[in-house]
Amino acid sequence: MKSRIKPAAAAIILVIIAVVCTAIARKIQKNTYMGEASEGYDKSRDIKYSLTEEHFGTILTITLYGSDEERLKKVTEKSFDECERLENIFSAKLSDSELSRLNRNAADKPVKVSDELMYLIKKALSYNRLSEGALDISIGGLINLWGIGSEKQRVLDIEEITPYINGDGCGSIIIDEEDSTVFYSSDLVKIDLGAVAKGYAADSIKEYICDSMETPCGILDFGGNIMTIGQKTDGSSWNIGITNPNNPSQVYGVVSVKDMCVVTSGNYERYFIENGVRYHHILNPFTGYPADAGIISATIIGSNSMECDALSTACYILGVDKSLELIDGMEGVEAVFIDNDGNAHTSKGMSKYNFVKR
Amino acid sequence: MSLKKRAIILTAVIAAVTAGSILCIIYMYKTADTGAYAYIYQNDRIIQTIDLSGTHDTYRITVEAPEGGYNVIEVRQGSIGVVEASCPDGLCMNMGFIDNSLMPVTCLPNHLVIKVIDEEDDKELDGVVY
Amino acid sequence: MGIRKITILGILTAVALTIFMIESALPALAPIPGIKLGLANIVTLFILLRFKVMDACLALFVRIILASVFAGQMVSLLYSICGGVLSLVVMALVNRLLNKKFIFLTSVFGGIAHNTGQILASYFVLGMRGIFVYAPFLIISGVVTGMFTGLICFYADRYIPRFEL
Repeated sequence: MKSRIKPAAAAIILVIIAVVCTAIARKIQKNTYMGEASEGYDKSRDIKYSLTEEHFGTILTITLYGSDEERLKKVTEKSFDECERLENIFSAKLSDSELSRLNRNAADKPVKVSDELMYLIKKALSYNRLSEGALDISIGGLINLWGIGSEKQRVLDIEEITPYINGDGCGSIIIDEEDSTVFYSSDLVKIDLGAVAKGYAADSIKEYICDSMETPCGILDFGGNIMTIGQKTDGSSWNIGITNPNNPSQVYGVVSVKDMCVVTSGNYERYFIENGVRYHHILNPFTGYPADAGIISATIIGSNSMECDALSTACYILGVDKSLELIDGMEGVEAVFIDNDGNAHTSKGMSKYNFVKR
Repeated sequence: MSLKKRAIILTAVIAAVTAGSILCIIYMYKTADTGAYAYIYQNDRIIQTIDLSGTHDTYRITVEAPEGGYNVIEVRQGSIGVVEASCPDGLCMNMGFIDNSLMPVTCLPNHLVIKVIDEEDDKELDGVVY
Repeated sequence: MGIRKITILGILTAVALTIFMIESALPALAPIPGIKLGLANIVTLFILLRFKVMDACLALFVRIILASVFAGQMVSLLYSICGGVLSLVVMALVNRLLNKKFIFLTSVFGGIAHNTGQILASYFVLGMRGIFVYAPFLIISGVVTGMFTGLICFYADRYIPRFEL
């Protein structure tokens, strides 16, 4: 009898010891793991604050993580105030924005502009040179005429388009830096900063958030342009999905980024279909028609949102080969292009963002 | 119960567990193939992505290297491999067809890498660009 | 417990510790922490044959604790305890049903239990369900190493004279 009880008792004791050890070891493992995860990890940053508003004709969401909810709320609200201020300068749709005033008067006489507007126009003109004319901010009039995404959208005749594409393009925008004035040498020129304004706003708001928070952490979703601030609270990268251009309700692939911005230009954002042809909002300044160079989605990853914004539009217009050449020649920006057949093409350094197709 | 009987029962238990494990491994290898994508890299960038599970008819594609070489890649249902190449060693052809992420096919002279990657659906997204 | 018994158990524990340390220096079987072949089970099984369950248990714990001290890892202690304890419990039960002639079977059960215990431990520590993918591979490796262990034990039992306690 004695020898029968002993093994059974031993087994029970051993199992109990094993369970206790498991519990202890698990706790130790968890603590050391969390501690080693990242120096930026802070247990107290577990409050999430998110706010959505409408600016620049799209939905903007700011999400911040931190320890002080009041502070997060204040920073987020201030960020949207900044957004509104920028919108009142750069929007081509608001009739009393600084840009709209410039567009109304600059063909008659040089118009004095604010430092910020001057900066953004100069930047946009430099991207125009970099992309050899693909990114053209001077075709605001043509964009207006197409009206894609608005009620007056229609297919234009070639006669309507010709005057816009035969001009000097961005060469018609004459800048006087000393007097800080802008003058249009053709009355068909209207500046549209749609390709850079959202990016500039994201950069500017990120700067404000980083200045006003000790450990900035969050994500800015500016109508599908994503700017990540810092790393996630657990120290890992943000996983950003790229919309499948052939089926926009699905994700084509995923990239992992820290403190970087991801911007996509696609033919599925704003478009209309007539006689089986898709007319989307990214116009080729050389033809005056929606760009059709083989790319249906151009995603750029970089630290500067304005640059990414401009490059994604330019690459969409340029096509795969020229765009890869452009991006590979630049420091700090990488790209994923999806062609007409749904194939992905990535720039040389893309592997560091761990692009995975879904 | 006699000693012999007990031994037979326990042996049967071991046999059953082992057989179950082998079946499990076979099943895992079988299911690992479906839903896999092949990525073709040239000079460390993706030049083509192929949905292997969606491929029903075998076909071939030729990838030309910028330096002048070429690789003929055969795509089958669930697997991919190099069948013809300009490289001197022909190592990429000898690697055969791959159907899982264990080992990529590489052709160093032509800077070509073919990887098979399983679909990752469990990664939670923090945002989507559109 | 007599001095002779303590000495013999001590020597056997030292042998087990040596095997354990050598095994942990070998390259990993799979890229998962704590999953090993469990060769030190040879000694546990041998003690189980010659002594009582409690003696085997004592030797096992001394060996695991000393090994963790030498390796300096708290987590590996857990894996070893889980694998070792589960293996010992199963072997003790199976050994009660069978006799020395079937040490082979006992050992195979021990091998399976050892690897199962390690995988369960890694699951509880890491919380990843994905590691169960390796379970079938480890069960088969448990069967193979179990046979190996059983074989060694069978001959060891035949050639090592009875201890006079």
